Amino acid sequence: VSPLVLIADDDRDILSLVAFRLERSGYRVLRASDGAEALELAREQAPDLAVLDLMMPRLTGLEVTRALRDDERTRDLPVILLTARVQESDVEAGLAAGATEYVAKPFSPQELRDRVDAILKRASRHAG
Amino acid sequence: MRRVKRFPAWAVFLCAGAGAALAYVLFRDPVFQAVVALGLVTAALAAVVGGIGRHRPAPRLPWVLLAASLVAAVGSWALWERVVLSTGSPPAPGTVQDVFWIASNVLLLATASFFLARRQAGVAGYLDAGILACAFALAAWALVFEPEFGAAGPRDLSAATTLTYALLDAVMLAVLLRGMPSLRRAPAVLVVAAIAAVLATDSLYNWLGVITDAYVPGAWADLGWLLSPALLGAAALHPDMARVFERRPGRERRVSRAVVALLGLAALAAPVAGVLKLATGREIDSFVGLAFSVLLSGLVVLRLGLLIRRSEHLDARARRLAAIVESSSDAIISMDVDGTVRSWNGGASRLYGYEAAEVLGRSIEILVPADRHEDREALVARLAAGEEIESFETVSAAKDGRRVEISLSVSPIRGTRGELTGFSTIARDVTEQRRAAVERARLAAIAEASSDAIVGTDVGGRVTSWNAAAEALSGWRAADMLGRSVAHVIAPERHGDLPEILTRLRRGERVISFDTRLVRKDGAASEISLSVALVRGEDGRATGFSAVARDVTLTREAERKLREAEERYRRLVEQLPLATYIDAPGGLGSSTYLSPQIGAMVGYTPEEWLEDRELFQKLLHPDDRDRVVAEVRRATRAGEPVLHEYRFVARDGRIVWVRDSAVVVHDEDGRPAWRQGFVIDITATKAAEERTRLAEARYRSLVEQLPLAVYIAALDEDNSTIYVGPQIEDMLGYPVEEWFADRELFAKLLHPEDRERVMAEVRDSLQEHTPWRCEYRMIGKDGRVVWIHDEDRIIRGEDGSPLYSQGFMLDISERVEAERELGRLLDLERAHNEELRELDGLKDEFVALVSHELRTPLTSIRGYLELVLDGAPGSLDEEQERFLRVVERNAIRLQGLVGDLLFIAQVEAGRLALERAPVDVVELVAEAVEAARPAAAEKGIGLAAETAEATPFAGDRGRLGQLLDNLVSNAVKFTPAGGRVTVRASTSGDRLVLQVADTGIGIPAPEQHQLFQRFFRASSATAEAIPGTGLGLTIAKAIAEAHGGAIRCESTEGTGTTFTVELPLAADAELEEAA
Repeated sequence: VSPLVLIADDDRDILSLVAFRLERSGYRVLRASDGAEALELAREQAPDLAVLDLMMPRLTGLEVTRALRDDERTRDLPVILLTARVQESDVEAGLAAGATEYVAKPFSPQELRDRVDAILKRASRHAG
Repeated sequence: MRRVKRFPAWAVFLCAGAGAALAYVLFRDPVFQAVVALGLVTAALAAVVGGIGRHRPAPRLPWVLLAASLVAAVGSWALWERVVLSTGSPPAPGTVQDVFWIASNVLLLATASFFLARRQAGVAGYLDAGILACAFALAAWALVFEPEFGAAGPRDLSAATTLTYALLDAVMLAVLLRGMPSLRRAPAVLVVAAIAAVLATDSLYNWLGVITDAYVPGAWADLGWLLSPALLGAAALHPDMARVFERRPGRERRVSRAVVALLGLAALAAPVAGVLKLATGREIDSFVGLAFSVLLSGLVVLRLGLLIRRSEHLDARARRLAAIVESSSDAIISMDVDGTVRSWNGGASRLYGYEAAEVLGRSIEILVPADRHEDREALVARLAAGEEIESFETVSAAKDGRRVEISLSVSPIRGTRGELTGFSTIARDVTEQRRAAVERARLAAIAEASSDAIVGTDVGGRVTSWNAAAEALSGWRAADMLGRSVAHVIAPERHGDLPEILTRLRRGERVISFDTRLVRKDGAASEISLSVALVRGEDGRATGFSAVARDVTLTREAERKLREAEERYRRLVEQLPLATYIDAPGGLGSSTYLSPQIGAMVGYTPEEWLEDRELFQKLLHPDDRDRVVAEVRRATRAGEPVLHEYRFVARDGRIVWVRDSAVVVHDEDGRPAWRQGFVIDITATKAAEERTRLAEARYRSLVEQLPLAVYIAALDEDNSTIYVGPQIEDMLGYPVEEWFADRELFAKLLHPEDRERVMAEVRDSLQEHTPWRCEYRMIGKDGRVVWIHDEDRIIRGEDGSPLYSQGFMLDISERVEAERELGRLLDLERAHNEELRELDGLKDEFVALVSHELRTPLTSIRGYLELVLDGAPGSLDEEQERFLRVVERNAIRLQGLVGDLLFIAQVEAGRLALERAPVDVVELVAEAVEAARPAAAEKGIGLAAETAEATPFAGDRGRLGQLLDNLVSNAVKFTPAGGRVTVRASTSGDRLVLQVADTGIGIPAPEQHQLFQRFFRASSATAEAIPGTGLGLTIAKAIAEAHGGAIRCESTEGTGTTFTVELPLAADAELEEAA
């Protein structure tokens, strides 16, 4: 079964772009348009990886990441944060909250897919 | 007082006894009577025994005899009552009962005889009693018994008993009569009464029972027998019983007229009895009567002999006394009670000048001077009171009118019955004795009162008198010293002086005075001055010495101390650093003393001064001479002290400044006695003063030129001004004088808003003695507000004690004004800057926000472009693809612009962070060259990298790449075709040097310094329409500086431009750490 990736972004264009790219690459994709929904889906569907925008309504990407890390079921879920903010403190905060990686906007869809591939490959190796 | 509640025992006994006796005769029951009689006698016996034990009479014998008599009486009564109870009649005379009764009476008689002994009548008394007893017995015999018994006398025991009773009664009566005591004491009365009662009752019994046979026992006739024990018992219980038989010594034995008459009658008893017998017609003669008469005559003859002997004895005594009186040197005068002179001895004649014949029979009054009557009256009063006078001192008048001081002794003269018949007076002339005594007392008083020790000795040096001062001086009491050698108190080492003194005195020197040393009782020695004189008796022989001594220890000590003190003061005066002098009151040039210091001062010795009277005036400095001479004369005349300063011209020509101070000393009468003073060399002081004055003037002018007002203030309550610089007037408009005149001026001038604060600070500073600094406002005279800077501190003496406060006031109005202006400007500037800063922050925020919001759509644009160009939705034709490439290129350009803007915003906000890591510079340069190669190749520009060996460098690889990209792309952009761009990397010392050189159009020199400003575009760039944002160099510079380096540009228009970046090489340690 191909890996399930959760994508959350309040910008529908970005959400579609990333989903399209990953689906093309053979991933199954879960879409969420805000943080709360993302957290709900993560808990319900147990995805293999989450791509979270930093700035989202209801719950920010950072808050979702913390919540995931606090939950037994989602503790080991890899998270990629998408951010337009490139300030050092933002990056640090994200990593501290438990994000696996971050990708600065603007990014190329190809680049993002490469990162996802790499993380999942690493995870499967760990699992294997 | 005697009204006591309890009756005395004796009275109770007497009353009870009398009552019992009365009951005896009233209730004639024999048994009752027997009990009463025996009880009464026994009680009397008990009372006597008890009285002896309780009152202890002396002598005790009479009372013991009385007790014995009562014992016998008890026996007698017992026998009597037995007979009476058994027979109803009394026993016949001559029984055992009579033996007891006679014994009782004899013992009673013995008791009574003690009255005789008590009267001290001696043999004569007993003879008298014998005569009386014989007379009574004769009378009784002749008149009673002879008729009864006949001339032959008693023929049976009964009659003999009766006679015995009669005889006993006679004797007892005689004893009582002759020895009758004075009846002043109650027990004596009681005893006599008891004896009398027995006597009377016995006689009555004799008469009733024997002569007339009419006696009935238990009838009234017995009353006396019963009363007798009652009386005796009462007497024995009376407290005075102890002294009833007391002997009274020294009592003159006198023969009273009553006794003589009694004895005369007794002597006549025989003839009287004979006459009486004849008168009754009875026979006269009988043997018994004759015998009594003979006995009586013998006794009378004996008694007469005694009387004659006694009379002769008295006569001789009287003659002897008269001779003594006559020969006495004292005046012995006797007089009647009324003062009539009755005897006058030779002594009286000598004393008063009257012969005996002249005064006998006259009143003693003639001897009493008119002013001495009260003495006499006092004397008479005392005599009348029964006093005897001894040594009564008074004054009498002699015949020739002389007053004679006498000492009187007066005794009363009493007659045979003790009545006062006159006085005897012994008078002694005490005039001389008095005078001598007064004189002695006066001398003694003088001697005692003398503060000098006065001592008398005999010729042997033994002390005969020693007055109080001598006691005080020596510590020895007179009692210690009298009879002791005077040498006892002289110090042993001075004993040698004494013989010589004595010798000189004996030779005839009257008084010798010398000093010697005395040793006090306590061992201390004193220096004494002694004056000794020889004392001669009336006959001119030496009788002793008198010495007057005075303690001179203190005097000698004081003299010595005075000498020492004078010497000390002279030495002191002559060591003082000044010259003292004493002038006669005359004034100038009259010196009597000058201390030697004057020589050192002016070069002339005291001797020279004393010789040359003009020297003082000669030495005076010419400029001072007239003034000084006038001042000295004036002060001397007025007697006033003088203090002045002047100059001497010394011997060696020096000018000597002196201060001369002198006072006039007055004698006790207030006249000027001398003038004394001293002269101090004050040349040095003067010089110092001058120096001080100059220095002060210098400092003052300095201080008063300062653009501030200096002040000095006292540390008193007012903080009063001592000095204030004249600048104060310029400052505030009030001249210095007003500051001194008005202590409150400072407070008054203070700005009302500052006053309270400043005054409080001033007060604190004064109290704490702390330095003080303050700025405040004052109101000047012209109403101007003047800002003052005031600094003040306490100046202390060498010992640290605060002396005064010193400070200055500076007008800082201009400065305050300038500061205010400056403050205003600064405030403006600050506000402006604040505004700018806010604006700047706003801008940065805006840029960041905008950049962020731009990125999200850019992400979509590029992402979808990529998908399309990758052919994901289907393949494109050539034109579509070319157009989309244009879109993509511009999207990339927009993205770069957004990145640059964001980067700049970060740099501006100071938020640029480097991620340092070891960087391969060769590779870095190669990458930059490779990145630019397509563009360079497109324009036909040669692009080359010139790098030396790999230099280790720690830096942010991404940023450094961005820097090189910017420079290289710039160089390519501004280099025309056929040009060349060279990128170099090298190390120079501790720096990494990166250079990007081109052969481009160059930058105009005036614009070069603006190159690194944001959005700056060189004129050449705009002119050539070379695209750019104007941010590339700004970013390059920021990155270089973030690495601690710098960027510079060298450019020549038309030739080319070289950008050089120099970055410090990190130390190895830093490199390793970065790795």
